[in-house]
Amino acid sequence: MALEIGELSASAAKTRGIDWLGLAVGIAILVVAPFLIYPVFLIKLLCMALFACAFNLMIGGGGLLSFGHAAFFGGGAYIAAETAKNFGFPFEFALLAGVASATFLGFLFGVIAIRRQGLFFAMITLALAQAVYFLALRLPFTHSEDGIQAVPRGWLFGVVDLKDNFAMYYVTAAIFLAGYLLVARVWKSPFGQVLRAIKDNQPRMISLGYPVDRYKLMNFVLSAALSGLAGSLKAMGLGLATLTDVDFTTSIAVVLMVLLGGMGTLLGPVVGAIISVSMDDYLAGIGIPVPVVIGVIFVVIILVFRRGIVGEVVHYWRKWQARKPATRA
Amino acid sequence: MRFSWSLTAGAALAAVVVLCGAPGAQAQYSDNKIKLGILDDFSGPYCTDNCMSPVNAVQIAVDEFGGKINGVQIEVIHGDHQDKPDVGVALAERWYDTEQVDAILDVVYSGVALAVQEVARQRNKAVLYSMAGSDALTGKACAPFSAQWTYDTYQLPNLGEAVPMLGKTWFILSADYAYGKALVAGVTRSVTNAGGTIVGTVFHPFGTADMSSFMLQAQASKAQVIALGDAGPDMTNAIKAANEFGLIASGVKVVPLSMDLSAIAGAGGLQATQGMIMALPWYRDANPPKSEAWAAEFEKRQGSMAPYLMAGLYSAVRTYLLAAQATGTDDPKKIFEWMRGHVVDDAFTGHGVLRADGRMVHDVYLVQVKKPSESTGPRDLANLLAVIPGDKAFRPLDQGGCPTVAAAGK
Repeated sequence: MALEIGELSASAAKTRGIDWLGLAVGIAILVVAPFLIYPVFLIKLLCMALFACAFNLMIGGGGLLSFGHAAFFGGGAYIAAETAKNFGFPFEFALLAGVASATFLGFLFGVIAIRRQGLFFAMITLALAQAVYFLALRLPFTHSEDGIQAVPRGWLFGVVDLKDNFAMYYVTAAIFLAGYLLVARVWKSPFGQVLRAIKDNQPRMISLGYPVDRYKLMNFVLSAALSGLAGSLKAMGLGLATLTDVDFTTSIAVVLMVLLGGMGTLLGPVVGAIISVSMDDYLAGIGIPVPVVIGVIFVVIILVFRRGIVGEVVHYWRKWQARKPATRA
Repeated sequence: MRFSWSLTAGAALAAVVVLCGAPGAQAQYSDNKIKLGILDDFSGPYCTDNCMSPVNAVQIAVDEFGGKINGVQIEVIHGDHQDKPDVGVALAERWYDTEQVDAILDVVYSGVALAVQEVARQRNKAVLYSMAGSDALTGKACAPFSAQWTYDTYQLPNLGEAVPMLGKTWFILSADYAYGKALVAGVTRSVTNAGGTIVGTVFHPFGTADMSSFMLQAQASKAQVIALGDAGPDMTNAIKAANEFGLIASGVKVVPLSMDLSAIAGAGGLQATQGMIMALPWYRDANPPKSEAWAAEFEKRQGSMAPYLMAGLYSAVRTYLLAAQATGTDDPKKIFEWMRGHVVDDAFTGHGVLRADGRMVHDVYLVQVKKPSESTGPRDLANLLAVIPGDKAFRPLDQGGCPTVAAAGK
């Protein structure tokens, strides 16, 4: 059946509306976090979390595995950085320029790749993303491996000075929250249901008369736009856009984040991003080769929690719920 | 109540200050320690020799001071930026803001170095580069308390008087990224200035294992000299390919711009590299006997031959610590004033000068790799051809476009 609730988070399955309690807890965490943890690190973390949510929209919602999402993330980052630094765009317009460029790229990629499925789709997106990487390496404005540095954060609406890390953090948090809620809304909308139905049984949806390719393209472009927003926000927050952002390792990293947290759950990508980014940053200072540690942790987590961390929690929660009426009876 | 508390505290403080007396300079070191952070690639393609050579080089300098300056502990930490500028920036910000790091060191990979430069500039903190080679660090992106000690992409290809010795027609084989392009621009400038001509240039992607098609292009150009503008494994592969295609045997001269004598063993030994010419920022006889003694100490700790990058790192740290000792503070402004006002005389150079744009100007040594029959041992690898004085080897102060220098000149 198209509305298989196993793909949804528990709360989303129960109520079609917004989970107000969860939202309140989330907002409280976002507000308190910078007093406990270094704000610049949190900015980076939220950008990666938003990126993972955007990716999840595609793979969890539409079932399309893309290996080219770094192109949107990095493309957005480069355009936002360039417009803010050299064209003098204010903060909001630099972000918009980044999102617009990623949306355009997403449309281009989508039109080419969307007719294919599975491995072929993944390979086409990877190839196109490598083309974008090559452009980033060769175009003069990107400065090759030196990247675009010293990007000014500017002012929000000309009022709030974003040079302050706390101000920048709260703006990032607000944008992240808006992006997260948008993904949640799309998830629960009829549009989202159609996407999951396509994922489960595409021939049936075609026979029911749905323009399947158009739905998938729409989803792809939406995901690309959100990835571009995450990339632009990262470029503004950290003040740089570099080849790392468009590199295929970033495409792989986001796949891992989503797998780690739990594919197809709303909160999963956020949890995955938190774990992955924290490992990247905190292991950097301890003197053991970072990739080795990260690799081992990934292997263990994927072997032990095959549904991802959040997916596993949801699974056992539901199992427990299902057993309760039985014990009563 | 509160008043009497503060009064007591004040009296106690006054007593402490009076009791301590003369070495009152101690109070000048923030957090009562001097903390240095080495920010490098400790796991990826830019780490060489088990990745720990920067730690060893810095530790030699720290040990010379007995681990303490005016009774204040010197602490060294290191972090792995994984060649990701965002990881480097996050780590640098954390180090400066919350972990009391006074100076960040080395920073291999210019993508990360340029990002760290901005972090240091915003906070008015000190940063000392040895492995970072982008000449933008002392040019457009210069910062008040940053110093680039060892080499840069202007100096490496600046072969000067060696050009006529090598030949008239040149072919450049380089890696397709900013570092490679900077070297190509440099070689082109130095060759055309000396009356030579560039007959061709080819770029290969970063991380190319098979250089044969590029080497064939070089061979077809019939150039007398092939300059290699790549680094690390790419350069080693290019040298091996030049040998396999018989270029070196046929009399073509190969000039590996980023080569160091310590890399000869990995590139096929003297047999493969004999006759090659390079401009070295440092070698074992740069400032004897100090340079030789230091090289021996480094080799004892690291277990492999001392590279110029590590000699430069050692010298930068040593000079910084001397300044911290002499000025009795870790205030970057006072430390950099002292460093700019004193000649560097240590294992790295006999008369180095730190310029206003952050460039440490020192002599460069033009050397030629010996024939296997001429070498008397594993450390006897090259003959000195000429010493290029620092002011000719490095970019003149007024040509870098460093904004603070330009402002001071007006």
